[in-house]
Amino acid sequence: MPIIVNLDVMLAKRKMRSNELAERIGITTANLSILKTGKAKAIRFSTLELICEILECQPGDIMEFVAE
Amino acid sequence: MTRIKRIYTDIKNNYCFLVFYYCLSIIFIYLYRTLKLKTMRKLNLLKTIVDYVFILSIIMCTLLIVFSILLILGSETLKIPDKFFFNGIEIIGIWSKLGLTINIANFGLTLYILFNFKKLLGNFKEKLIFEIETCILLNRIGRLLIYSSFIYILAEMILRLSKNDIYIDFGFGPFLYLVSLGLFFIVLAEVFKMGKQLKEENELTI
Repeated sequence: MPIIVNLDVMLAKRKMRSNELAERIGITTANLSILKTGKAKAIRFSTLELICEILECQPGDIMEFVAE
Repeated sequence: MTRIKRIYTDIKNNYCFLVFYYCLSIIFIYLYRTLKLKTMRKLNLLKTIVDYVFILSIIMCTLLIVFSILLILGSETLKIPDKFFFNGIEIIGIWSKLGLTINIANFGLTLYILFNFKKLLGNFKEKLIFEIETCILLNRIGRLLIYSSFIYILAEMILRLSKNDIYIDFGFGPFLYLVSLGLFFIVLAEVFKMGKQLKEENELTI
């Protein structure tokens, strides 16, 4: 997939653990790890909204487009 | 004359009793299962009927296989008459015996299809619906049904050749019926494959 998820970079910047993020969004850690490893096929706007709200960032900060 | 009539009525009554017991046992098995499980009653009914037919067919198939082996081994040593009727077909000579044996082999194949169908229904019961195993089973059932139809037409042709009674029918006979059923199962396998993709996509949406 040409879309790369840089969620762990943002998590490191905010000094937050992924367990805490998953808990605050309301998804399981398994699903969050699917998102982080890039196995996810789609992301709901509601989930994206919550991630941006909690990490205080823009969608562009956690995602990147790289041409193959 | 009266004696023949009495035998006839006896057979008729026994036959009625047989059908009655058959229905009764199906109903009892069905009730027993539905008492245990509250959901998916129609699936349970279908599985009950398929299980029942499968068990009866296994008994029938073993008998028929023994019979066909006796047929192949020869009629002189085992005292099988040269000419007899089987299922309304007059059996004379080697060709018609070959046709009959192929038909019996086809029955075995049908039994295997039934076994796969039973497994498929079991998968549905376990809620394994859009899985690769279900797709494989559906595809296998479809392919085997098509093979079975071709074996059927081969046996039919041999039986007709043995009687020197050759004709072709273009109607909606068992051949076309089996082929379309097999193709339908293959199409169903494709549909289930699409369903599996959709399910995966849904699961991987965060």
